[in-house]
This record gives sequence, C-alpha cells and structure tokens, in this order.
Amino acid sequence: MIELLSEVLVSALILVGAFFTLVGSLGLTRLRDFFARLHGPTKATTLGVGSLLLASLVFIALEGDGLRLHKVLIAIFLFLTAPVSAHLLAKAAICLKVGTGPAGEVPETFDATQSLEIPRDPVSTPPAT
Amino acid sequence: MPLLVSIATAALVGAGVWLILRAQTFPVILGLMLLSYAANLVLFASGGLTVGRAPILIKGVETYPDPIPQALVLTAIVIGFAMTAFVLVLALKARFALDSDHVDGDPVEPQEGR
Amino acid sequence: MTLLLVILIPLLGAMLPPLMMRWGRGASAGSAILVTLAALGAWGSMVPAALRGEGATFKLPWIPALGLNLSLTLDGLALLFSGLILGIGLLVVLYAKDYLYKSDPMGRFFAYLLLFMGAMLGVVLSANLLLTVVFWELTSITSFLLIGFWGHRADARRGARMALTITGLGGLCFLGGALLLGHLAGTFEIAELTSLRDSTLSHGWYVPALVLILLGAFTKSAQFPFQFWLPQAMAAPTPVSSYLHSATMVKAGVFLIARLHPALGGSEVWFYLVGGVGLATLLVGAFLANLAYDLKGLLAYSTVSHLGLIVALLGIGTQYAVVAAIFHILNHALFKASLFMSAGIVDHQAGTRDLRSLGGLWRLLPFTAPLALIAAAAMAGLPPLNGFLSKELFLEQTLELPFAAGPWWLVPALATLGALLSMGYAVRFGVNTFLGPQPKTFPKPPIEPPWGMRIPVALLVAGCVAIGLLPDLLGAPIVELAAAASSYLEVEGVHFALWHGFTPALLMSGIAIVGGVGLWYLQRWFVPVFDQSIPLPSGERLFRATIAGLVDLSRSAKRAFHPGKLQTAIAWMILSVVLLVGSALLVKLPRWTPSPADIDPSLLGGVALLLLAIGAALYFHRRRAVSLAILGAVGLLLSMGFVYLSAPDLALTQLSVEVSTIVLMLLALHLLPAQSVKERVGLHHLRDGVLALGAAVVVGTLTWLLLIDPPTSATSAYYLAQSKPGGGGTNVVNVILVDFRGFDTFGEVIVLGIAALGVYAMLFGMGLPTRWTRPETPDESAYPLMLGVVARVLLPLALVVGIYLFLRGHNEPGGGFVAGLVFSAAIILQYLASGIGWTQHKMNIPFHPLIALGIFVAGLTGVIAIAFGQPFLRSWFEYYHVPILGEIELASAMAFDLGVTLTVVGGLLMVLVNLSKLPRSTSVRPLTLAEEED
Repeated sequence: MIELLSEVLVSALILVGAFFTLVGSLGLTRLRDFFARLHGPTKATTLGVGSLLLASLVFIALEGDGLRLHKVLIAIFLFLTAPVSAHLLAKAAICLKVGTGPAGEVPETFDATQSLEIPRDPVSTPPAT
Repeated sequence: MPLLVSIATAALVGAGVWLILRAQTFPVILGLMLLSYAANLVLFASGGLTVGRAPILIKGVETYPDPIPQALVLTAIVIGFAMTAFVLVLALKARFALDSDHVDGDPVEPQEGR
Repeated sequence: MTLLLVILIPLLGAMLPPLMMRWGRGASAGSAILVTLAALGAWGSMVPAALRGEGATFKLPWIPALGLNLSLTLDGLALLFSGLILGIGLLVVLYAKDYLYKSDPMGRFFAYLLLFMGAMLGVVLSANLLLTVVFWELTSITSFLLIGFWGHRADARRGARMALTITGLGGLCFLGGALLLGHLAGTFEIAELTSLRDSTLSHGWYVPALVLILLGAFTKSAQFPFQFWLPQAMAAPTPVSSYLHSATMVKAGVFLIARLHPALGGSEVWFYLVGGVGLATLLVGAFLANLAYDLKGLLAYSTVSHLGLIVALLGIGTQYAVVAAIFHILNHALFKASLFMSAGIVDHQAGTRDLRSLGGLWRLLPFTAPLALIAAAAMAGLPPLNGFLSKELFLEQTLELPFAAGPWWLVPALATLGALLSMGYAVRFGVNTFLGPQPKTFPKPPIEPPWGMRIPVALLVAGCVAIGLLPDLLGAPIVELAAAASSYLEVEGVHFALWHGFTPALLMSGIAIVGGVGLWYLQRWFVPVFDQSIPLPSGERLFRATIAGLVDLSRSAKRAFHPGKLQTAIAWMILSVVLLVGSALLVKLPRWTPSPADIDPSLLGGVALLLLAIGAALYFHRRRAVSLAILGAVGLLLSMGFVYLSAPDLALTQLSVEVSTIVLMLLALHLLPAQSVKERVGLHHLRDGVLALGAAVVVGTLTWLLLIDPPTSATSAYYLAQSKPGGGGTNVVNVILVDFRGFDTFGEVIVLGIAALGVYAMLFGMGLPTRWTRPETPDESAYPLMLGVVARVLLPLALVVGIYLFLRGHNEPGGGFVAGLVFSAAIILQYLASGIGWTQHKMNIPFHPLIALGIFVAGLTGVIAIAFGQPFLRSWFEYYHVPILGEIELASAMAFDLGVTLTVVGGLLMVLVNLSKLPRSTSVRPLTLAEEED
C-alpha cells in the first residue's frame, strides 16, 4: 500500500515538474520580448526543478535510505540564486535599453557598460548564468 | 567507450587548433583553453576508463581506477587556469600597448576586415 | 685540498671586485690583488714539495659513472704553468689597475680576469682529461668575455665572436677526441693514460682521437691554419692581450700537447702532424708579423710564430726538444707579456699603436723604451737574453730529427728562415716605435705612465735578463721537472749555457740575426707591395664567408618558418607535430587489432552534447561573449564526464576552476573588443582546416590506441596499496598530491604563485591604481541590493562548504585545491556583488603575503620532516580520540594542503581582483561597431 502510494506521489511530482519545465521552455521560445521571456526560465523552471527535486527526495526517503538533505540543500540554493540571476538579467536589459516591442532585438553580445552613463565600477559584468 | 572519448578529444583538439590559428587574441585564448581540456582528457584517459568506482579506498573492494592520471590532471587544471590568466593579461597588455587586438600587433587592416 | 683551493680562490673571489666597486676603484683593484695573492700563497705552500718531485695530488669522484673525477695534480708541468698563470696574473692585475680608463667598469673586468685565472689553473692542474675539457671550455667563455670587454666597439664584438667560434669548435673536437681516447683506453685519468701509451698507439682509433685532440689544441694555440683569430682578439684591452693571448690561454693548446705527449707522442703521425703544423705556423706567423702595422697585431703574429716554434719542438719530441719547448714556454711568457704591456703603454700614452705614426719615443718614454727594447731583443733571440738560449736549442734540435723529413738541410733551413723573420719583426717593433725620427704630433702627448704600469714590465724584463745570465740556476731545475712530466723518455741532467762553442746552431743564429736586420732594412720596399697588390691567403676570409653563409641560411629558414607572423609559426609547429606523431602512429597501427567498440548510452549523450557545444563555439567564435558562454558549457560537460568516469576530485576541481575562468574571461572581455573582425576568406582557411583536421585525427587515434590497451603501472598499484597504511588517507588522489608526489605539488603551487605575480606585474604597467577609494555604501544602481544580500548570506555557507571539503579531502573527494577554489569563488562573489571599494573595506586580504604564506607553510611542512630525520615532505599522521567528535586523524599532510589552499586563494584573488581594478580607460580606444562589423 505504502509502495503504491509512494509511487503515485513520486510520479505525480515528476509529472508536475516536467510540466512546469516544459511550460518554461515554451515560454522562453514563444513569448513576445525579452522581459516576458525572462519569466520562462526563472519562475516556471524553478518550480519544475523544485518538483523534480522533491520527487527525488520522497523516492529516496521511502526506498528506505532515510531522509537525505542534499536535495533540500540543492532546492534552497536554487531558490536563492534563480531570482537573483533573473533580477540581474532584467537590470542588464534595462541598462542596454532593450526594447519591449517585438522589434526590440536583444543584442547578441553582452556589453552592459558600453551604453551606460552612470559611473561604474569595472566589476559590473555579472558572471554568465 | 574508448571510441566516444577519442571522438571527444579529437573534436576538442580540432576546434582548439582551428581557433589558435585565428588572427585575433581572444579566439586564440579560447583555442588554448580547448586544447588544455583536450590534453587533460587524454592524460586522464591514459589511466583507462572506469565507471562508477572512484579511487576512494573502501573495505572489501579490490580494484580501483588508476589514481595517478587523476592526480596529474587535477594540478593540470589549476595550472591551466594560471596559464589562461597569464595569456589573457598578455593579450590585454598587447592591446594596451599596440592599440591592436591582432596576434602580431598589426593594425586590423581593411583587407582583412572586409 | 690546498690544490683545490688554488682553483677555488680565484673562481669564488671573482665575486669580490664587483662588490667592492661600492667603495671605489681602488678597493676593487685591491680586492683583485688580494685574491690573486691568496691563491699565490696557497700555491706557494705546495711548491717546495713539488720541487722535490713530490707534487700534491687530490682526487674526488664527481661523476664516476662517466669517468669524470675531480682529480688534480701538481707535477712539474703543472707547477711551471700554474706559476706563470699566478705570477703573471698578479702583474697583469697591477698593470690593469692603472691601464683601465675611468669609464671602464673595473669590477666587471677583474671579475672576468679572476674567473679566467681560476679556469686556466683548472686546465693545468687537472689530472683527468674530462675535467680538463670542462675547464678548457670555461677559458674559452671567459676569454670571449674579456675580448669583448669593450662591447661598444664593433671590432671587439667581432673579435670576441671569432675567438669563441674557433676555440669553441676546437673545444668540441677536443671533447670528441677525449671521449674517443677515454673509450679506447678505458680511463680518463691522465696518469693511467700515460701508462697505457703502447696499447694506445697501436689501437685503430688512435689516429682519429689524436687528430681531434690536436684540433682542439691547434685552435686554442692559434696554429696554422687557425691563426687568424688571435690578431682579431687584439681588440681586447691590453692587459688581456698580455695575459691571455701571450702568456696563458694560447699556451693552453701547447700545454695540452705537452701534457698528452707522454700518452700519445712518439709516433710517426705525431711527428709529421705536430711538427709540420708547428713549423708552418712558425713561418706564417713570422712572415705576417713583418707586414703588420698595428703594434699589437705584430705582437699577435709573433706570438703565433713562437707558439708554432714550441709546437714544432713538441712534435720533434726527443728529450732535448721537449726541454727546449718547455724552456721556450717560460721565456716566451716573460718577454711577450712585457712586450704587450709596453705596447699597451705606448697605445695608452700616445693614443695610437700604428707603426706608421709612431717613432722616436725613446726620448719621451725614457723608462719604458729601454725595457721594451730589451724584451724585443729577447724575442729576437739576441744574447745574452733568455730568448737566445731557447732559440739556439731549437735550431740545434732541427738538426737531429727522429724521422726523415725531406733532404737533411730542409728543416734546419726553414727554422733559420723563421729565426731570420723573427729578427726582422723584432727590429721592426723596436726601431719603428722607439728609435728613428719622431713624428710631428701624436694623438696624445706621450708621457710616462703611472708606476703601476711600469713596474710589471720592469719585473718581467728583469726575469728575461736574469734567466739569460743565470740559466742553469734559475731555469734548469723547473724546466727539468716540467720536461720530465711531458716526455715519455727519461729527462735528466738539464744544463743551459750561453756559450757552447762554435756549433751549427750558432752559425744559423748568426745568419738569422744578420739576415733579419737586412730584412728590416728592405721592409720599406716590400711591405707596401704586399699591402696593396698581393692578397694573402687567409683563413679569416674563409671563416667570414662561412659565417655569412650560415647567417643567410638561418635568415632564409626563419623567413620561411617564422616570417614574423604568429599564425605561420604555429601552423608549422602543428604541421610538424601532426606529421611526426602521425607517421609514428602509422608504424604502430598494424600491431593493434581493433576490438568492437561498446557504446555506453550515457557517455554517448554526453559526447553528443559536447560535439554540439564545440560546433556552436566554432560557429559563434567571433561573437566573443557567446562563445565564452558555450565554452563554459564545454567545461561543465567535461566535469560531468569526470563524475561519470570515476574521478570525483577532478569533477570538483574542473567545476570550480570553470567558475573562476569564466569570471576572468568576462573581466578581460570588458577591455577587449566584443567581436572578432571577420577574416578574409582565403587559402589560409584551407590550411587551418586541414591542420585542425589532421591534429584531430592524430590525437583521436592516439587516444583510441591508448584506451583500447591502457598501460598498467606498478606505481599505481603501489600507491593504491600504500595510501592508507603509508599516507593515512583513503582518497588516493589526494594522498598522491599531498604525500607521494608532494614535491611535484609543491612545485606546481609555486608556479601558480609565480603566474599570479606575473599577472600582477604586467597589470601594474597598465595603470593599475595602487589605492582604491570608494564610497563605503555601494551604489544601488550599479550593485543590486538583491545580489549583495544573497552574496553576503552565501559567504559563510560557502566558507563552511570549503572547510568541509578541505577537512574531508584526505579521505573523500575534496582537498586543498578544491577548497581554495571554493573559498576564492565565494570571495569573488562579494567583489562582484558589492564592488571593490566596499569589499576591500570589509575584508582587506593582502594577496602577496597570502601567496607567500601558502608556499611558506607548504615548504615548512617539508622542512619539518627533514628536522625529524625524514626525507623532504614525508608526511606523518596519527589518530586521536576526541570525546564528542570521535576518531580524529591529524596528518602533517593537512598542513601541506593548507599551504596549497592559501596559495590558490591568494593567486586566484590576486589575478581576478587586480584585473577588475583595471580602469576602463586602460583599454585603448575601442573599435567602434562600424569598424568591427563587416
């Protein structure tokens, strides 16, 4: 009984995770402009990966290996870093004056300081995320 | 498995050689990085390929992968970083002094640019 | 031991004069004199025993496997030569003190001179042929430095190069001959070689070995046809000419012939080769000296001629010939050194040494002139001076040859001709300089030089006269001893006398003297003829042509392989590697039978992704940021591959290095153009493509061959077995790094530190600010609050992770390198999030000391092991039971690992932080997009 329940639970979590990841990926490719597209990988995918991690956590816990907190740690780090990187990306886009219309192309190269007026520290380029 | 790893190293070497033959500094540095990846991989592969058994001693386990290449590659990775940094700053210095990004310090000529 | 000291005192003492320059030229010269006196003292303490025939010996195995021993001996020959080297050396140092001009770096001069003295003493004291070669080469190098001392003058540089080339090539021949001789005799000890003479002479390799060794000796002693380098070497300061090029170094060749005469002499080949070359040199040198206008050039050719005389005597090789040769070595050193010094005085005081603009100096240099004239008379072989004695002996010996050489009168006639010519140039030297009409003006008004330059000349000339008058008392004992050491026959009862009746030799002398004066009288007619119309056969021209040809050859090779374009140079390099390795693989390939390759699905996926990423990196390589991001992906894929292929340590390292690398590259990209200029499509693309493909195929095949038959190593098995009992850790990779191969790791950590310092040094020239002032609160618009806060929260967490990785490293994946990388990543994040000003204010880590501390700690661990009587870096470990934490292992390897961590952190931060400090303005005018786009 427990086994069946756990299998259902794990499967459901995996399905939810896969769904959100798919939605996020679709959003990344299909949405209108840069700022809209940013939602895809940050919000939806966070949720998706979170679910998958949870599935793994439950699976291992119920398989009898006990509660392993590695996965929780991964989730915490993910939740900490994803919004920060999204925030940075958005800020960079503002600095680059990326347009919001469909024609507002995102330059392929990333050189935030080139069009920046505010005096800045050289360490302004964020790491590739 | 040997075939796959050989293909991976071959691809790394091919791309690396192509890039270090470019005329500007940055691709050359990228090429050097790819070549050092390839070198690390070949060195690592010289110990044979083992799946799922780290060279961490566990009671009752008799066979382990060769630890020596791993130790060699570990330091090679760190030294590779130092080398990349050095070459990179060399490139910066060249551009600072010569006002050119070209590997020979030539001005980027029109016939090459167009 | 004292024997070794005699060599070591000048060699080590050479450091003193440059150091003493701080206290002035007097102190520098004084220290040189003291060093020479010290060596002379050490030598003098051994002279009495050596004169009794009980010379000191010394032997210390150096590289016994090669037969190279530090064995020294002070037999008669060595005694004579070392006495000349030290005695004349002292006089030359005295003379040079006043000779050198104010602008000359005196410390450097004396350093070279003392180094030469030590090397030359090594040559003559050595009792091992290989050791002789070593010191021999050292004399060539120091002679090069001394000839080229006035390096601002083209003739000095040219002369120095020529001397080095000729004597260096000769040195190579000598080495070859010495090796051959050692091979055929089975020993390099000269005493043993001497005892093996009979078997050596009958050996098939005797002639090649002899010819090679003689080539070395002939080039060094400027024998025909190599005589031309010596006049060129006259560009050296005169003390050098007087010391090296008359008294000592050019005698090294003669010394070698004398030294090996007991081991190799007495054969027909020896007689014709050595005797013939010597006689030819005697005539050629003497003839050319009669044509020279340069005072020092004349003396140089006369030196050549006298060396030829000595060589000819050694070639004859009978007891009395050897005695005469040794006696002439002594005499020649005395009169020629004083003549060079006099020529130097003339040059120094009158400002010219061209015979055409000199004359009548007798009145202006009343002290120097008579001395120089006496020395010239000794050179000419006039009685009652020392030169007369040895020349008489020579003429006498030409009448008693051991082998037939043409009609009986031929060799004596040629010898008389040589003596006649030498009388001619001696008169030319003396009369044209000091007597005769005085020219209207001199470049400088000549006055007598300081006493420091006059006294050495006087002492040497006094020696000439004294030996001439009392030859039996002053000359005979040492000559007998030295001749005994350089002959395979018994030498006893040597007596010299000024007068020994009416002999054929006296007649020949008389002809020579009268004829020589006549020759001088005729010179005003025949010298200009040779001067203008008759091209003299000259090895020098051949030498110059050869050198020019070689230079042209290397120029054209350079033009082909490295035309100043990096791409071409790299292409050649890769091509040669591909061809070399490829051909080796072609040879090896058939030995392996290909086994069916098993395809691992996970690996297949990984490799497919990798290929995709590499392809994308190539496709986008001109868009630098994009290609960089893809490169990051390649690194991540590799670290995943390491995880999969059982190398967790590598995966951790690769991952954390990748982070730092990407940050580094982005920082640099900030100062470089964002895009690469598109290259014109051309043939070189085809070339690059073929090369890339070739390299890929070769490396791929190599890897494949390696993988289908991986080498097994006993060392690996040993490390695996010993890791726990010997190194105290279960993570074998880490134990190898910190214990088994700790010395390697130590070196690599130092390399890391050096690279970081190199980066810092290079950045420093690019306007790196020394002080960094910034507002304490970061600018919100540049440093987003969110990132800052998260980064600060993450810092302690990351530090904990780093410490965890560090502590478990000995037994689980982790260790010093990884921990250092994690620490620096965490700290770099602070810089990125909050700016340099704020971060440096909050945590001021000095990077230079950190690197030094790391290396120091790692090194100290090793040194402590030595203190416990263990080898460097031998690790120690012990288990302790701690109440709450349980079993704790304490290993000295952890201290070593700590050093590694500290260096990694210091090096990484030094590079990254300083690179980010570089102001944007450092980057020169960035190319505008219009220029970059095609």
